[in-house]
Amino acid sequence: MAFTVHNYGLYVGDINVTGLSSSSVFLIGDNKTIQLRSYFDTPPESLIIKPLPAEQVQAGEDATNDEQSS
Amino acid sequence: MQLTMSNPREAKVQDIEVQDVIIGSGFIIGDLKQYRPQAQVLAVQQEKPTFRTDPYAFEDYKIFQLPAEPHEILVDQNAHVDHHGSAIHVDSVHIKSVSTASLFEVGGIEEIYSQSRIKHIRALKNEQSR
Repeated sequence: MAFTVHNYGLYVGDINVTGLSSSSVFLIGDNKTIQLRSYFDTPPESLIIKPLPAEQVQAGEDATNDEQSS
Repeated sequence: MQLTMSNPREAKVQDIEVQDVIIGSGFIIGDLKQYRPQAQVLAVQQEKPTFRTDPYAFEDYKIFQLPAEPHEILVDQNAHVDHHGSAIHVDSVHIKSVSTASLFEVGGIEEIYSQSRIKHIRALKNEQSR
């Protein structure tokens, strides 16, 4: 396939953006290739509700449980 | 792929305000050949008077170990871009935040390959009331 792209004027007035997050692109201009990937892991098990001792963080234990249950 | 951007065009910018560019992100005015950001995030929220990061390791979570899918192989194209000498004009852009392997650009860029991996953990003492 062969094709020609003709670009003439590109004028941007006023843009307000609150946020770009997690492999996002906001492009004013030209591009050839975009490939974006985003992996999220927020399962119900990631919410841990229990009294926590002051300095004994049990993140390692929680991580093990998390992996087993997923 | 043969699409060449050998005739990049000028970017004329009047006013841009970006408050935050964080966690492997970019803000570019002008041209770029390739942009390939990667970010790994362990987002931990816990109700404790002191916060320690050492109990948390990327190796403990599968999301950070999974091999990345290979990028798509694109079909070859014979494409030509003619900008006719025109520039990119931007009067005003306001952005609060660009985060986690993201990009804000005014100009031309040939290739973008971005990847982010995010794991959320919340450790609370009690149920949250609604």
